[in-house]
Amino acid sequence: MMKAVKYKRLRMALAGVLLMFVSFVGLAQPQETLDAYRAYQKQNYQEASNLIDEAISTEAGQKDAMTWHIRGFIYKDIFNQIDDKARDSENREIAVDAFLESMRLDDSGQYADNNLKSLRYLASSFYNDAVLVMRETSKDNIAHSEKFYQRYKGLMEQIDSEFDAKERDITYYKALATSHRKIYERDKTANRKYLNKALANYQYVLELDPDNYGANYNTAINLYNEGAHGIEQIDAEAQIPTIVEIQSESIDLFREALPYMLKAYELDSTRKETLIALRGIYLSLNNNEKANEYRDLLRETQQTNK
Amino acid sequence: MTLKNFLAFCAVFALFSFTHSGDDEGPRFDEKDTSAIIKASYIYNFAKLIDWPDEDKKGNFIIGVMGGSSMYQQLITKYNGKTIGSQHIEIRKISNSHNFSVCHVLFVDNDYSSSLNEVIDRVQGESTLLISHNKGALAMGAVINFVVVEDNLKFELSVSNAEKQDLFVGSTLKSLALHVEN
Repeated sequence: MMKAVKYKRLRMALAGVLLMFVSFVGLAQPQETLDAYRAYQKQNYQEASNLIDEAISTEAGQKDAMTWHIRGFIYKDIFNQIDDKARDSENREIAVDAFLESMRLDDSGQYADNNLKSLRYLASSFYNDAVLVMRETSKDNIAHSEKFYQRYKGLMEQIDSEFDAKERDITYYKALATSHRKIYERDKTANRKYLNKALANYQYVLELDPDNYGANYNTAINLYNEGAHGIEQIDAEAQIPTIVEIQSESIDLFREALPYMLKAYELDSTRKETLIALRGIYLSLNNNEKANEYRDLLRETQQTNK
Repeated sequence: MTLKNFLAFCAVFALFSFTHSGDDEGPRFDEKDTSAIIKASYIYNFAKLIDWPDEDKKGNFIIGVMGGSSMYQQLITKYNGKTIGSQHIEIRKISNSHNFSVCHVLFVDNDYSSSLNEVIDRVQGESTLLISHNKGALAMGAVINFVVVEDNLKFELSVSNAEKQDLFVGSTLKSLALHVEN
């Protein structure tokens, strides 16, 4: 019910803009634009879309900000009402392109507010899809999450000069790394490449923000866990050359993990989990002296927190 | 708000709720005593590649562990009940008060280094394979000693100490040792 009222208001607002335009500027747009608008008001989206498509195929329509503006609304509503916000809806893309074209042609800025509001709304819909797909943690469609996210980011960068892509990237790619890791953990052998993807996500975050505690800590933990998993999987009947080989591969991962965990510790030396992890990494590197150092620091921290 | 919109809102809200630290859904530190796993695997191989006198090839094959509770646990989990030749492996946790001579293999972990001299004295003349993780342990009388080389656990071997214990070390094990004292 509220949705219906909302759309009615939108259509009324659009009607006001249209009337102003017709009264003061004159009929620069083709007849099909007005007909499309009337069909849209009656929620006859099929007819509205046919008519507005005809309108933009005319020379006048192509250059008319209002025609593109109305096209944007028609296709936005088709995406919302008919497609039920389907992730693969092409009508969402048509709506985006129409609002962008309207903005480009709208020299007087007459439609600027509504164009921007609509584009923000559509950008948010891409972001929502990116997050929802990501949280499904499915091998089949996790790649689509990034595609939706990039669409969101690209659109926001076009319409908002103050959009902070870096901050948003950091949040998004850390979350994406978590999803990749979860897929990997479901089957560590078959899904090994998803661990690499998770590590690549963190690496990208660290390129943007080398002092990001979470990305440093999680990179180290992922590497450590992978090394420990390798050793844990040593078969009971494994012969010495195999043990030596697996150990060496795991030690390489522990070595790789260490600088990230040391960086995390440098960024925040009060965290218990960092001290526990450093002790564990050094133990796995067979460096008892250093492991004991961090064990003592952990005890001190626990005493201080009592 | 439709269910679909509500779910979308929840998902986006959750994403923005991630902290900048190790977030709630971040990986958990899966701490494992990897050294113990490696040592346990080595010890089983040592037992397979060394020959005991015939009179010790009856009853259970006893592996004693001094110190290193996770080491003991590893051996129990992976090797308890397996066989060396026709003998079933039995893992025992050993302390100073125990009779060491019943052990075919006795591992003295580095946290029991101070007891190493006493242990060596008490297994003299017994067919007990003494394995340690202590710098200079071969000179003290251990047969096999774990050493750390570039962060990796390797082992050194004393053939003469093995002979004193009436143990025969095959060429395979010799070839795999970091270094062999004859």
